[in-house]
Amino acid sequence: MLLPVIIATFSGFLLIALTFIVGRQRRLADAALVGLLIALFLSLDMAGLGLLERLGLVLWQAPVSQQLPGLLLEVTPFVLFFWVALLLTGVIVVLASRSFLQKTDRNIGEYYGLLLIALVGMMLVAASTDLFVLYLAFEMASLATFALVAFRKRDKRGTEAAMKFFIIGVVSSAIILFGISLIYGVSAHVASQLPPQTGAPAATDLRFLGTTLSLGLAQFEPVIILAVVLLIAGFGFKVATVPFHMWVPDVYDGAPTTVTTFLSTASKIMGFAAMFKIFLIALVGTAGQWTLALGILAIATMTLGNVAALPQKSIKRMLAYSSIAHAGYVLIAVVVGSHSDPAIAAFGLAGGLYHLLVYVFMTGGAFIFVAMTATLLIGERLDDYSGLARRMPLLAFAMMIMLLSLAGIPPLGGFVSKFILFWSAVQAGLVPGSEWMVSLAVAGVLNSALSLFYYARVIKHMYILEGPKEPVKVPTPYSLALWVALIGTIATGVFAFVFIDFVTQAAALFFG
Amino acid sequence: MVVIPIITLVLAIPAIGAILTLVGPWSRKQARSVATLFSGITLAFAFVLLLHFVAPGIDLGLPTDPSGTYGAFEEYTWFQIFGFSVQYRVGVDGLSVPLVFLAALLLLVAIIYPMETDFKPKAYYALLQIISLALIGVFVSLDFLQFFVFWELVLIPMYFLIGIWGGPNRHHAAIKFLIYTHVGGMVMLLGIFALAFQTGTLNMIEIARLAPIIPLATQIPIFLAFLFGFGVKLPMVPFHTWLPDAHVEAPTAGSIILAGVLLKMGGYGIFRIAYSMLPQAAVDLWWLVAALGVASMIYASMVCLVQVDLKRLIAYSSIGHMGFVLLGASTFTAIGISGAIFQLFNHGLITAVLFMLAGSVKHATGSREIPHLRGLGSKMPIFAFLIIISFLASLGMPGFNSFISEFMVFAGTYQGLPGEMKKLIFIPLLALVLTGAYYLWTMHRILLGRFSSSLGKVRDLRASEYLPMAIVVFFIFLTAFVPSLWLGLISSFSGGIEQSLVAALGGG
Amino acid sequence: MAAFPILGLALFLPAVAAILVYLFARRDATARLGALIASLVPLAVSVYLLIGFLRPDLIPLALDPIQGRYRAFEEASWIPQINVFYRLAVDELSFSLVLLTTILVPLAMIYSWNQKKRVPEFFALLLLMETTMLGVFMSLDFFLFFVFWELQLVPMYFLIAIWGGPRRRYASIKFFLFTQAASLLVLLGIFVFYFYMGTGVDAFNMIAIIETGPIPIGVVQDLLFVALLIGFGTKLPMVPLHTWLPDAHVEAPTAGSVLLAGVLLKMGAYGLIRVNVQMIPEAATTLFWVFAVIGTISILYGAIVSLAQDDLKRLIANSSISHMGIVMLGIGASMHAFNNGTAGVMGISGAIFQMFAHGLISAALFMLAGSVLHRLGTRNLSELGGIMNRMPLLSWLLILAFLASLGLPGLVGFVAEFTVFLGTYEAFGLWVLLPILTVVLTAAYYLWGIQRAVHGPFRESLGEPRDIALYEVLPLVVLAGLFVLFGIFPAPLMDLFNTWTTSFFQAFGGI
Repeated sequence: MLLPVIIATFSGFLLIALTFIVGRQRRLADAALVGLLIALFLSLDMAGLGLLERLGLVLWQAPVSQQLPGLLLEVTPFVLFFWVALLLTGVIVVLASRSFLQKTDRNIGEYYGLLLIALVGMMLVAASTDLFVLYLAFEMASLATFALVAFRKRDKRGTEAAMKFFIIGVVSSAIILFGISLIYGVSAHVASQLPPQTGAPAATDLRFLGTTLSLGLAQFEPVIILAVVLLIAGFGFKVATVPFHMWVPDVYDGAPTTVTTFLSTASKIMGFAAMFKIFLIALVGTAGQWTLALGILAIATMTLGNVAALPQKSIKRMLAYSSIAHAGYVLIAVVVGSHSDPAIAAFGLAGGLYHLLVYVFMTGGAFIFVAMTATLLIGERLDDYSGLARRMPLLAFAMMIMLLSLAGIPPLGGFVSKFILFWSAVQAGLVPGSEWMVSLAVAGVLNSALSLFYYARVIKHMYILEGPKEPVKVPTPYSLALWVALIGTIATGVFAFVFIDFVTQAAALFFG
Repeated sequence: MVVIPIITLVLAIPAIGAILTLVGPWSRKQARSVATLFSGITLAFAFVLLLHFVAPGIDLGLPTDPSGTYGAFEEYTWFQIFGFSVQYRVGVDGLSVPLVFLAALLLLVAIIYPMETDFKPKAYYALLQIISLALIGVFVSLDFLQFFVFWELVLIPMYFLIGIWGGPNRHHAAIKFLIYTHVGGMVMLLGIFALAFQTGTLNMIEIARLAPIIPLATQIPIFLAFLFGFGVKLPMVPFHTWLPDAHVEAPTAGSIILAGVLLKMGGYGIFRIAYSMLPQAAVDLWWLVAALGVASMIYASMVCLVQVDLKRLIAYSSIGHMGFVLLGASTFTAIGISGAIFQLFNHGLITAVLFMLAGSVKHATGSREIPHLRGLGSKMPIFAFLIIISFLASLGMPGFNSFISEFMVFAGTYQGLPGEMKKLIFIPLLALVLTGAYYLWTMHRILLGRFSSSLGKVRDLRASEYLPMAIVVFFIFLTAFVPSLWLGLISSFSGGIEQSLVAALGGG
Repeated sequence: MAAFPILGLALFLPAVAAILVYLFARRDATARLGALIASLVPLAVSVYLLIGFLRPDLIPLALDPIQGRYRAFEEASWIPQINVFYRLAVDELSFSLVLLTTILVPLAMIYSWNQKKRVPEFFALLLLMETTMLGVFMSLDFFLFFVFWELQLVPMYFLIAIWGGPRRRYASIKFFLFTQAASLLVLLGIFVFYFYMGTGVDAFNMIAIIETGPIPIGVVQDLLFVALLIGFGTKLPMVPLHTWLPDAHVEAPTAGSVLLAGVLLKMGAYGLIRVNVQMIPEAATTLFWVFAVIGTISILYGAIVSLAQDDLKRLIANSSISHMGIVMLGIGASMHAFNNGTAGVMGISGAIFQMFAHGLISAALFMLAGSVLHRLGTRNLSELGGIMNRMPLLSWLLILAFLASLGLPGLVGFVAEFTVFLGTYEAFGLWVLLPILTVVLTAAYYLWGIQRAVHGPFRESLGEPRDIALYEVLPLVVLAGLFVLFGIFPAPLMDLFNTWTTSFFQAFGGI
């Protein structure tokens, strides 16, 4: 069942070893790509493709939904969804890195190796059923990304960014750990008072936590609230919600752009995977204590992200702020996902998952585009994009589509996912007691409208304003990565019905 | 029996046309031919759709909606989530058919009318088709999601059209257009949200059935949101300032579509949504709608008196004419509402010709400034003939089409005003005098008087210029002489809406 | 079997001909001839109708279904959604004006035979004028009526604006805006009728409105009366809404003036009688004094102002105001004495006759004024002198037209004015002396002016004028013949008008 993880791990270590044998970084990238594609294919197959089964190779019954109690892991559609999303990110980033990395760059094997190891950590976060396993996997991924940010160690901005990222990361990990320890304390205490039974799960088991914490709520309310605050703050740093987002623009701007792509997509996806698991399973019994706070946070995050993105002249920074805003949208899923009506909760979660999937394509694609323009020495600033549509008509078109999707223009993926998110909030608002959740939808829609301005500005520069006219030649890997992103962005919109079934199934099964 | 998805075809043909125009290896002329071909097919399908309504005897095998309100109707599910399905749902009735036909007609006209520059012809013709596709989409959508999508989709190609092919101040105008109408769209979206929230669905047919029972206190804010959203588009005073700028800078084809069809979105929304779904609020706030309409009429006509730029004049006159739509809507009488809808259609035809004339005179003489244009009557007889006809039609001269609609609006207004306020009809009637005055004065200055030699050699309109105008003029006269062709359709719609409004009046 | 739509033919043939002439007449001669031939068709229809009116046994005309008083009735649904019909018919009142129009248009065309500037347009506009004017008189659907009422502004506006005198721009715009503003009141009136007839019924049917009289008696009728009075009175024109008229006349080309004074002013009077009097008779009887007072003021004002005029055209224009005042006076007298037997009938009958007579006379006068200017280079009486010596034909015709205008017995003007004044005497007694004396005094003054201009020694400063040419003589002689004809044999026409007035009063409950 863990075959994709195993393959990814194996490839990661292999790559580090290969550095010493293979001199040309392109070959390394190809190797990483092969590993990722195999893992991706296996994940998809497990998720319901069922191709191997049809070929007579019965490894599993698709779709897979299985607990692995010994490893404190599980492989469910929910998990598989994250694996697919993460591996897709990996594919896009590796494709882009193949051209982004220069001959002068060193330790290329380590770069790809770290990338894959980070991915493995992230996949394990999604698969974990235990709080401590989750934390360990989380740290594994984080450490790998710290190193990735500092990959160009001669680059001053890069190292500065890496320092910031490291400090923030460590501090937030510490905060999370503190929160976890408090939870564990409460849970263990409550569990000890329960009638002993054989095969009882550990006190850190996520589902068991859900039971114990709701039982212990009355007794340990202040402790739980403190723990929740710490967890919100800790994960807030990871997924960059307001007010824990300050590091994002600097780090995203300073890091090599492919790494930024990776951070803004994969890291964020992992963060949300963890948040879904902790908040919607472990802490769901105490939802009354934190939904409103998270709701406010969601609105603040999307609003601030968009408002701050408005005046940016650097497209990379603009996208960084935009990714903050998108974190705000996904937070809606955490809020609605805590709803007492399981159908509505699953609706919201499905929206969150779908948005993350689309987000891989559109934000990933947009960052890759920026990486490409940087590589081609066009620049990353708004003014550098003037007249770009004449110089690279197809790719500029792809960029336009991705930006429009980010703004939520139908029939693109960004529209469908936002629609499901916001509509779930409306549904939640229809239920007495949680009317306020409608405000999430309203804020989301208004923010989407607002965001169109800065996305459209990029389009305006590319299409309307005049600039240099000589055509540029784009390396094929970039084109490939962008085509993947473009097709994904369009397919998740126009052919939404293909994906939605899977997402809804994952979300429904997630709640059991 | 084969069911023809005719509405989808009307939407799909321009889309295919746009793509083919854009990607093919065409020269300028070829691009235009391709676009002409596809817009011609679009018009043909729109005509078939029209035929389906005006000649019900001919069985075209078009499906109707279950309730029978929409004479042509199609529905497919896009995706489903937790039992909630997002659907593609299109249908047309007496309100939308004339507007769909208008959009298709003016698309063809805008494409035939010669391009003013040689810049990027393929993109130009493709964008025109996309705008029309989106406009038709607005008129046929019966699902709020889809409606909103098309509504916003209109903005982007129009923004490019003004921003790329426009006049010297195009960037400012394009951005202003985008911001104004986008903000309007957002407020409208809030209204859509509120309606969806109140009824739990996005199906516009369902909402029209469920929404009228929403309590008045809730209806009013929703109605105001819609009124703002549609009012910006219409545009009504005081949210009109984007329009003159956009028109002055837009290329002629853009102006044709902008004034001819795009403004109609606002009027369409008022009837399809604000009045159909929220009758109680409409009844309660009639005075507001009427006042805004009258203010638009008076203000715009007064501003017109001092305009120097011919295009700006026509743009302001559009604001005034759209005021009739609001006034007619506020009357709750079948005749007034029919008149308002008919006014949408008529104004679309007339302004299309007016903007083509403004574009052509600029091309022929190098100026659009009314004081510079003098004595063109004898130098440009075809131009003179067409501008006389279109000015007369626009000022509501009896015997032309817009007279009938304006007459109906006033008749409805008189009928609808409460007894002691009937005298107030003088105020909007005043706008007619003002309208007559500015058109006449303009016509006088342009056509008569001594030819100003500073214009140099001028030429009359070319066939490529007057041919599209002649097509529209034909429809102007057709409409003037056989108004029942359209009014039959329109009154079938406005009869229903009047009943619900009167019921709301009785209930409230 | 449906009767052949002769009214429709007379109405639309000129419009179709106008389009053909405008689009296809390459040579001026073709345009002139084509237009003239086209304008003869309505004249033929008029004659046909005349026979139908005088001898119903010879030519039976289709009657309307409601009152059975309107002849050559034709009807078709036009805009069913708002109950608008294409509905044409004529009664004695409108027929007299149709006849007048169809006579004057060909004459105006003949008179304009040497028009040099933009000939096809000119004649096309004259034809268009004919359609719109006939449309006003023939329409018995309010919507259709208003369409023609307004549309008539357009050709007239262009006639003044393109072929007019030096101040044509000012005059044409003033003409257009004044009359357009006034017609908005007419439009408003139509809405009132529409409202009180009730929606969903045949609310624009003028015959039905006359038959049912839907407007409640009292304030509503009175207000409506005032609104319509202003609306129609501006066209008439009545003092003080007359200021557009002298300007328009002075600047208009002769053919324009002929139709303006000959027919257009009658539209105002027609509206007053058809709408104010027939549709809201109660208000018209209560407010008879408004007619009488304004009529008298118009008579006095027009007469006095024209005393001060040196310009022949301005003089004629102002005297038109005076003559149309007589029409109003006649209506007022009738409405006051409506249940006073024949005495009451005389006012309106005379007024209708006065409309007809003034149409003929003013047409002749404007033609003469045009010829004077054309031949002599001036229209100022003080600059003329002794033209009888060089231009006897012109002079004799001028004298004849003036005498007709002053109401010389034996000529058409006398019959009309005499009948009106008789009716006024019956209604108001000796007050009638006020208008009569005015008319007589001004008559003397004119005659004196004419005397100076025509007789005596020829002024050499006028150059070497030639007498008027055939194309001018021909229409003038026809008109002169008509003065005499209807002056000596007024009875057939007068009988028609009496029939009309009598039956109206009977329907209204008078006599």
